[in-house]
Amino acid sequence: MARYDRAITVFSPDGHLFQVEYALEAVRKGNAAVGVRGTDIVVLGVEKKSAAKLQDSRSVRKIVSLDDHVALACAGLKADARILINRARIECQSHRLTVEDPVTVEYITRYIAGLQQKYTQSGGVRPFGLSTLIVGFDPYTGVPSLYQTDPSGTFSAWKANATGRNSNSMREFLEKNYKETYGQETVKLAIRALLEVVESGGKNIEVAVMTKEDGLRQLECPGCQ
Amino acid sequence: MKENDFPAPPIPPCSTGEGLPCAPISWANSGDAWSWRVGTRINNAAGFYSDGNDFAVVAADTSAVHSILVHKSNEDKIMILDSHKLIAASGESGDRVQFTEYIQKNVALYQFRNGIPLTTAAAANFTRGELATALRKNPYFVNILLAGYDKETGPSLYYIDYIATLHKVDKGAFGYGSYFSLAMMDRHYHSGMTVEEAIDLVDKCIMEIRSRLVVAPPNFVIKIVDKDGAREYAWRESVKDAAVASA
Repeated sequence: MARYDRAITVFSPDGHLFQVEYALEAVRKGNAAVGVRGTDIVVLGVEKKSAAKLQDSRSVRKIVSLDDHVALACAGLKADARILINRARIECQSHRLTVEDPVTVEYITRYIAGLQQKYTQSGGVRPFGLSTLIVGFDPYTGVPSLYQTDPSGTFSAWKANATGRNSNSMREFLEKNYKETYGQETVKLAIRALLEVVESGGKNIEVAVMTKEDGLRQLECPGCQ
Repeated sequence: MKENDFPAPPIPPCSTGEGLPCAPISWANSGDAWSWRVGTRINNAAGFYSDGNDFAVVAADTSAVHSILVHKSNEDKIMILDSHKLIAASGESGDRVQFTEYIQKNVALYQFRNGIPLTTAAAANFTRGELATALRKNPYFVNILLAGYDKETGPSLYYIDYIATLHKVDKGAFGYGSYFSLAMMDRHYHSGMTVEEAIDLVDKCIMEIRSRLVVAPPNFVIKIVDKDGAREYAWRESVKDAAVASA
C-alpha cells in the first residue's frame, strides 16, 4: 500500500510542481489552437498537421461540441483530451437532468479545471497533458464567453487567447490586433492569428464558429475566407 | 437537360412487356428480344406508392391523478426525446418523469459522443435495457410507446411495457383505455393510412374512451413524428382549466 500512496506530483524544494510544469511542456509541443470571442460569435481554430495520405482526416476532429451551446478545442495529449471531453459531455447532460438547465460556460470550465486539478493531487496518477479553450453562449443571457484551462487546473476568461505551439507569437498578434468584432471579422482575426504560426496555411487549419442560434459549425474551407 | 424522343410511359405493377421501355431492343445481337415483368407493390393495396404517409402518431391522456384527486388535467405525458423521436409514457408519475428524462439525456449524450443520433430501434432497445436492469432491484412502473422516424427506414413504433417487454408494432395502447382503443384500431387500422385518416382513428379511440370508461380522462394530447421532425399535433380538451374569478 505504501508504494501506491506515493504521489507523482510532489513539491520541489523551491515550491514548483514539476510534473505540472512538464505537462505544460507537453502542451507547448501540441498543435496550435486559438480562440476569439466576438460580440455575437465565438471562433475556435486549430492547426492541423498535414494528414498522412492514407488517413481519413474526417475521423480526427479537433474541435468538439460538449453540448448544444458549448464547444472545446485543445492542445496537448489528444488521448487525455478524449477522457476529459467524455467526462465533460456526461456532466453537461447530468447537469441538465438534475437542475433542468443547460450548463453555463463557466460551470463546465470550472468542472474541467477541477478534474485537471484533481489529478495533480492524487496518488499514482499524472496530470492531464493538455490545455483547453472552451467557448460558448450563456443559455439564458446569450452572452458569449471564451475560457482557458491548463494542466494545473487554473482557468480564466479571455477575449482572445492561444495555446499550444508558438502560442506566444499568436498571443502577441492577438494583443496587437484585437478589437471588439462581430461576425466575419472575428473569424478573420482568428484565422490570421493561426496563419502567423502555421506553415503553409489554408489546408492546415481547422476552424469552427459558434453562434447563439446555429450552434457549432465547422467551416469548410478556412483558407478561402 | 435536353428532351429526347425516348418513350417513357408510367409502368403499372404486375404488367409485362417486351423491349422498350424497360428492356433493350436487338441487343447484344440483332434479333434478340428481351421481355420484362413487373412485380406487385407491397406497400399500398391501391396499387400505387403514395409518398408522404411516412409518420407515426401517439396520443396520451393529460390528467395527473393522485388517488381520488386530479392534480392537473393538462400534464403532457409525451416527451420529445430528440428531433425525430417521441416517447409517450404512462404509469407512476414520479417514475414516468424520472425515467423518460434519464433516457432523453442519455440519448443526447450518445449524439454528442458519436456525432450522429441514435436510431429509433437503438433508442427503444436502450430503453428496454434500462427497464430490464432495474426490474429485479427497483423497477420503474412506466409503460412506454416510443415513436420515431429514421431517414433510412422510415417511421416506427415500439411497445415497451414496465416489465421490459419490447415489441415493434404498427399500433399499440396501454391502460384501461387500451381495451377500447385496441378494438377500434383492429377494426379501422390499415397500412398506408394518411395523416387525416390516422388522426380520425385516434379521435375514434378517444371518443370510445370518453363514452365507455368509467373514470375517463377529459383531455388528450396528440403528437406526430415524420420526416420533418417530432411535434405536437393537437389537444383534445373537453375540460379547460377555468379562469379564476376575480375577488
